[in-house]
Amino acid sequence: MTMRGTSWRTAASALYAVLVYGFIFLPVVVLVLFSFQDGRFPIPPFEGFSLRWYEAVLADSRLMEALANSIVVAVGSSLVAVLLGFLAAYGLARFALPAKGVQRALLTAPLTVSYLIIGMGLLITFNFIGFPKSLLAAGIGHVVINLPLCFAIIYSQMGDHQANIEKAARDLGASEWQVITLVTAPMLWPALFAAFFLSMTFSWDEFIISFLLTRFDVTLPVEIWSLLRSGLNPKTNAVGSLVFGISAVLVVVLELVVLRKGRRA
Amino acid sequence: MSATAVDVKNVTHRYEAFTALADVSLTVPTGSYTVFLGPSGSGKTTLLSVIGGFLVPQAGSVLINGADMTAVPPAKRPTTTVFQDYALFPHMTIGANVAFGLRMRGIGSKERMRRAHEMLELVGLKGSEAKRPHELSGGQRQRVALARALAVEPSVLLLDEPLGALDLKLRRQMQAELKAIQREVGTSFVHVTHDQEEAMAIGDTIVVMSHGRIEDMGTPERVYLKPATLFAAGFMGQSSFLKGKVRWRTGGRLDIETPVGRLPLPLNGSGADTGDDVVLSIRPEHFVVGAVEGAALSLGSATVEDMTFAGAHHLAVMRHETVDSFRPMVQMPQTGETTPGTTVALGVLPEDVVILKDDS
Repeated sequence: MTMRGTSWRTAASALYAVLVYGFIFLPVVVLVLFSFQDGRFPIPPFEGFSLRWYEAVLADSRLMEALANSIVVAVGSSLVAVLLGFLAAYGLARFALPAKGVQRALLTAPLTVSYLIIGMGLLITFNFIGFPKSLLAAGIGHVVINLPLCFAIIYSQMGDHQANIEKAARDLGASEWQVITLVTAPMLWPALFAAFFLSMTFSWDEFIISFLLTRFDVTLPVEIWSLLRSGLNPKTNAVGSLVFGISAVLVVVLELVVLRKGRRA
Repeated sequence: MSATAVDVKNVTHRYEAFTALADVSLTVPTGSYTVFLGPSGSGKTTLLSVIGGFLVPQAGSVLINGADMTAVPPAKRPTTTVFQDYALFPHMTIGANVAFGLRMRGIGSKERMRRAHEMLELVGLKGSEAKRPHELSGGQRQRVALARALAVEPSVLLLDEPLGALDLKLRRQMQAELKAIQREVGTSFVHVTHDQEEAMAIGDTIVVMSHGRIEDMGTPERVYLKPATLFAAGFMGQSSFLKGKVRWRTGGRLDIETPVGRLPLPLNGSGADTGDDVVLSIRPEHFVVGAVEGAALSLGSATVEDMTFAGAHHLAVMRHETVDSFRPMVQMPQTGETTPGTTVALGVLPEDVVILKDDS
């Protein structure tokens, strides 16, 4: 009786788990599967395995250009967001500033604002000051969305113990600049790295801000969106799979380098 | 080099309503080992911060080697600090930690590695250059912190409760080593602690602090045997206190009325005068137990309430036969028949009694 009850419950749990993971991953699996479709339509039945759509993607100069743009925007905006987030965290953690709590709240507040609103706000502002739509404008948008995240991650890792270590460095003759570059930043290396890679993944996937703020040179998600307007074909699946693959690689690198290291220390 | 390493003049510092330092003045002679001793909140760590440059006092000045350093930042002072939590650089090797100060002074890498090697040898950690702080034990990290602070050859080395995090045995061992290292390098050491045994074992000079003031300052022997204040007598070692009043003073002698009777005493360095309220302080080992004869003054008799074995001797807490407020703490022999409940006669040699002003 109990045996049967238990196995029945186990089976139900297993089924539930399959449904949950299916719900999450089925779209991605279908996307990736039909990127290998040996036919003209990314819909069942699966007609055979082929890499021709990947060849088509790699041969498409516009897609390749957008890919390069996306990498430049992701790396550039993430570097700036990490740098600004680090300096803001250092300032707030180490100096007596007026209305500290308010300043911290203001820095993290954009996390709660939708990308659409941020994108529209930037579009209107840039229009007003005559700043042209460009990759730089999109990059600035990505700094706006990633700076609060970088700040929050880095600030959470700045403790009093580290403040004492910085004090020791000053005592031994280090200037403020030397304290930051030789002691504070290296000590926070895992947090800086985590902030950088998370920013990269967010910037890499981001569509709406890039869509609103770019014109001639666009990022990969915007270029994919243009492709989709002319209808589905396995090529869009192939490029989507590439975007997903690169995101997955970034997350795996983050896990291996930062989180493993944190566990060891 | 001037004979005075540190000269603190009338330093006062308040944190809102709390007075951390109240008009503190003191000098640290060059090449000496000075210990600031006091309970937490006594101002000893604040005073160390003022000397190290981490805190600019609201009033008063600090001279180091004769130069005014009151508002000079730590980096530009000839002082370095060994922090309580060691504050080693976790991302650097031990060698790089020790050489850090030399690097900040623009000394080439070959020379600084040579000096780091020397320093690590001095503190007994030869050959650990390539290790990282997390690979070392607490005691070893302590040594690295010491080597790092000494590597830049400061005029004054400041140690903020450096042995606080170590277990008792290691602490006693490190005390001896700190003292030996100080003798070897000849740098002036200023050491903060709340442990009176540590202070006595290590210091050339002990500065006893309480409530932001210096209560007493002198050699360990002097502060122990002739404490200047009631607080110093109570904080440095154990003491039994007996209140009294000076009936009269003639020449070098005092006649003091106490609950246990009139005691004729020599001045013993006290400034007490006719009519003053005083407290007599007697160390456990200064009581004469049993046969009170010769020069010893009788203090009446007392009953043993509790005995604690302290290895080399027993320590008895007693209840006086006639005076409830007098609870003598008396050192008794290592072996003997005395047990709780026994009543014994107590006495003391006149020159062993410390006469203190009653400021309670």
